[in-house]
Amino acid sequence: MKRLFIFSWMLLLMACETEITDFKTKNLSNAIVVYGEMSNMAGPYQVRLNYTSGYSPFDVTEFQGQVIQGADVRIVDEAGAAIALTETTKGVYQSPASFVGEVGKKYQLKIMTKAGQDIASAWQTLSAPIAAEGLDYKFIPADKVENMRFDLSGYLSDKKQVENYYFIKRQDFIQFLTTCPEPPPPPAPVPPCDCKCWQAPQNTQPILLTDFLVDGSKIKLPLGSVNYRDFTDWVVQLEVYSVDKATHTYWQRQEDQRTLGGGIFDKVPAQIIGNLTCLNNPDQQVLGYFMVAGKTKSRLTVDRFNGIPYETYNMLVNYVEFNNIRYKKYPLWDCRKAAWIPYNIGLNLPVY
Amino acid sequence: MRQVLLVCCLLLSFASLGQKRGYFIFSGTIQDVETKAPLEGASVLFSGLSIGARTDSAGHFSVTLPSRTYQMVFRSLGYKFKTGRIDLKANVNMTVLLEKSEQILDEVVISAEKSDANVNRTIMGVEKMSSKTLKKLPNLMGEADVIRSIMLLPGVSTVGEGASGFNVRGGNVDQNLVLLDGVPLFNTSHLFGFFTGFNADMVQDLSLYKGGIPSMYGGRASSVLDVRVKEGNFDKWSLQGGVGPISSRLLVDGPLVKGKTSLILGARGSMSDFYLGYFPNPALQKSKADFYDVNFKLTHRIGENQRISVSGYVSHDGFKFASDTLYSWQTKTLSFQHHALWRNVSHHFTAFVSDYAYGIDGLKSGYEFAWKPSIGQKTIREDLSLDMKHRGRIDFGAEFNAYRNDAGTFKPSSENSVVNTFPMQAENSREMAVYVGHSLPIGKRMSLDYGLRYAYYQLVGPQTFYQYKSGIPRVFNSIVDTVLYQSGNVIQSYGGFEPRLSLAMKLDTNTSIKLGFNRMQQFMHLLSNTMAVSPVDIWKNSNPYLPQQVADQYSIGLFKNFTNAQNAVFEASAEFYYKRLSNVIDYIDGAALYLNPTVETQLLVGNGRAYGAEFFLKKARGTRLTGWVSYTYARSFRLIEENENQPAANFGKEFPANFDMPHNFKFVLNNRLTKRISFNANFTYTSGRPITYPNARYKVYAYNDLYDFEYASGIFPRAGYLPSSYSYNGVTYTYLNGTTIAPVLDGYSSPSFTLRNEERIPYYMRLDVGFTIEPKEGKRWQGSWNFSIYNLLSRQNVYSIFFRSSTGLINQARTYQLSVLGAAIPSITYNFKF
Repeated sequence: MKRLFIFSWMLLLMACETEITDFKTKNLSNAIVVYGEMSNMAGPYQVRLNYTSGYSPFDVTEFQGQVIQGADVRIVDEAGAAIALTETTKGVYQSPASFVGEVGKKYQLKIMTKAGQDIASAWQTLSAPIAAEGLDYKFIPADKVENMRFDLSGYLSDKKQVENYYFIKRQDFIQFLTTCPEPPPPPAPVPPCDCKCWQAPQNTQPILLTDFLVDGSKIKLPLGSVNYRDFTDWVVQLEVYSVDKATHTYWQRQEDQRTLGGGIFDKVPAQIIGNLTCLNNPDQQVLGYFMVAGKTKSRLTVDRFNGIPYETYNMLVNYVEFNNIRYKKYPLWDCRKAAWIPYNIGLNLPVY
Repeated sequence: MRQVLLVCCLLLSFASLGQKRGYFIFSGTIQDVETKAPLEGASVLFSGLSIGARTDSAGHFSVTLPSRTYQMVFRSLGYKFKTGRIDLKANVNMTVLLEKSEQILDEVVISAEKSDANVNRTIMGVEKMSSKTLKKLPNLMGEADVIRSIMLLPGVSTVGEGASGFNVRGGNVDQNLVLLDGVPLFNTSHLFGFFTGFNADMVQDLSLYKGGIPSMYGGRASSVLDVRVKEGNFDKWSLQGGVGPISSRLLVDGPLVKGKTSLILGARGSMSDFYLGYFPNPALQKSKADFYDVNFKLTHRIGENQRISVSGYVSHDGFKFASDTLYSWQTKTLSFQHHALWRNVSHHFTAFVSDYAYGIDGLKSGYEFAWKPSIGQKTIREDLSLDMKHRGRIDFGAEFNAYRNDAGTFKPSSENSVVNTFPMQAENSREMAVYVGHSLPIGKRMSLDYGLRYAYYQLVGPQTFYQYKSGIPRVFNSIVDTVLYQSGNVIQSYGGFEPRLSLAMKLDTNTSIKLGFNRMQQFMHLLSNTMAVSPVDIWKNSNPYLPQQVADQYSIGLFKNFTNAQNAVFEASAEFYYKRLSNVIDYIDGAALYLNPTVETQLLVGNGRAYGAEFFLKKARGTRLTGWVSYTYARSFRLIEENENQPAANFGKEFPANFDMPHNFKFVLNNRLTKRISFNANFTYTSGRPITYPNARYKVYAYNDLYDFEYASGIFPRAGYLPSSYSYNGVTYTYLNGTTIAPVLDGYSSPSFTLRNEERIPYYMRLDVGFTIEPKEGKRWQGSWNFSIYNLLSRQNVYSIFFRSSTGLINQARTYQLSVLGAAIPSITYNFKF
């Protein structure tokens, strides 16, 4: 009887989610998509303009909408000063490198397309930046290498009595090793071998935080952990943007849309409108956002070699060997040429 | 105030019509001969008169008749009829005992009413169902269930499997007044909506008013579900219960003082926490999904014509799915009722208190919190009914409701918790109503039910109220003033008349045409912008930004009964309605409704309309086969236009409501195979509900710093190698092939939506079957088995199609579909009684 009941409960809890790969819809939108950022850190700042594309999930040839070229793009401040952005590549507009945002000042993005659409963002105040503090890590041993990890920690010291909202970009840089080929027989000289490069898998998922309900406290950064599959360095870079409520709401809605499960308590889907409007044609929808925020950047290097117990290290060595972590089948003198590593950025970390 | 006085005068003038010479009151009680239990719905017919009397829930009837001699017939379903003779020369009161019929009975599937009641009664849009019918319908996991059962009726729908609540004739879920023994419930769900929040064993019968709503009901805009609870047996004790996969039930009833005082006590509890521990899945082991409910009713008779009762109801749900968040909701009610019959006046007094609490507990270490909103209601009401012989019956009464709607202060629930206390305000309000209704026969062929209800509402202090800059849509940073209202100060008041009218015209003894109009007002609103309402959605009182919702419904119907050679009765009806909704609530896109002190900035107010046609054919009586088939065509739309206080929704264009499902076909069958075994089945088909499809997608390029830097530095593009392979003589060789390293810029991929609810998810179709084996007669221990299979076709009905934004390398916004209960679910339930 008990088994029958358990079976019944399993059935009740069984909900089935499947991806629809042949989904068809009417691709009728002509919305303009704008995204740009500026901060108190050195530029140049970029603004990208394009149209929406058809909704065909696996059509990679169309994943970027048609770009909008030849637009007049400016950033204006509250005093009326305007900085013109120049089109560096198709649909990408860049501010002069000398232009830097000032904390406390209000800025607005203004665009006039070649088709005469007058687009403007809401006025945005560049808020005071806040830095991540207490960035640290701790090795967590386990029976299996797969379960070993370094737990990361850090926090933001929230300012009390004011509503604060944070948008955080995280970019990881992971050092990797390749295997050098067998050296040529003497007397041929042994070529130099560069076998330690950096991989920077692109992370496009924001971390959103707010001091709602935890005002004035140290807000823990949800950094998770990094694995111990190799003993190379792992760098975690955090860019913390102090944003306003509207910006946070915009990104929160994007995140809600990304994580929804189609369940009975999901919000009804709706267009996510940012802070841009077409002034001379209210029917022209403008998507995207112009984000103005105080920004800081910090990096945490996780040393996965020093301080590890000897037995644990030996387990890792066996693991690396067994799992071919060093790509022995594809020996190279120069790890920069390993195109199979996504976002292989070469020997050095970027210094931008 | 003048309007209130006018209504009171009207009430008094009607009351004075009851006295006339040459007439006497014939009243009494009809009871079961063995148990002495009152028989509700029994009829008393008199020779030479077209009118009769019907017993109420206490088994009482009362009728005023001219002085003369009558032949009488007393009838009740499942009992042998009884005849009698009376020479009426004075007021008479008598008790009639009916004996159970021993032969196989005709089955009546829906309602305990006379088979011609649908033609004869004046009002339309009403469905009645007995507890017996409830138990005969196949249901999810063998649980007889009130809400699931009424969904088999025409005009009732739901947005999806497991969704809480129900929609009636294009109305929202919160527009249904659900009364459990006269006490309104704010939440009727267990397990989020899979099951009804009260025990079907306790139910005497239920009435669903979709239209033609009597003037005694008010407070919700669309429908009334009046569920009446059984009284305990006044003669002997009995125990009954059931063991099912979802829950187990126990019900005990009997006399505390024989013939005078009875008690009925029912309890039901889930055993899910026990089972969840056995799942191999750690997530399920950490989960919690328990519920219980308890009902009791204590009834005391005072003489022949009076009784008092005290009843209570407690319901609790707790749900946690492998997370640090526990959702819970509970309802507690306690009511006192006094019922009396004096001459030709029936009096019913009710006083009750109820408390509905819901909320969330955060259990994450260091961040423990509790958020517990609640609604407290205190009500007194008096309902009087005056029998005016040939001039029909007048019902009139008044009620007073006081509400305390606490939005729930968010607070830390442990000493170590770092979360702040976030206070939310409580809203206090009063709602008063007076009503009068007159059921009037007009000649032999026509009858009229007309009534008027006046409802008056006040939102009162203490409360701090935000005022926003006028002329622009309300947003959180457009507050211009904060006004503090002291305790008792009126912040806002609303009121209005609610006319109710039903007219029936008999074309012949088996055919009638009916017309109806009713207006309903609603002053409390459920805020929910999710696909289905959630048990932790907040209720909001009407305030200066949120006027009362008003629904006007016009309806017309044709009713006809047939009888075949085997005396089986068929009831047929076609009803058409048009409903106009004012001040319906909608939401700005992505509205944040929880813990939002300026929640009015998230709300939109607009109008709606609904219309439809309901076709119903029921085999109400038959020796073996009974059931019904119905088809409903129903539409429901909303229009939220821009004004100086709010933006438009859907660009100001009308859009289908989330539960607009035009075609609705239902088939219910009950076939008695033998005297003890019956087979039942129901089939449901509905159009898919509306959905907003994306019409494009786009990428937000917020993550281009690294990409741009690497290109600017000349690192991309550059030459590199990719592994390649070839096979020769069955051997695979690998080598490195030259390529260009040039990563693709990726962004945050989102679907782009435009017009709301323009498309539909696929249709819903489900077939359930079940067998019931009744106990052998004459045995003291009566055990019965119920075997059922829910969703026999194992159809994976689409609950939703949804569109996720996406992150990661060249990822696109993707499309998914979700099915709930996508398998056939068998169940066995054992019920017993002794």
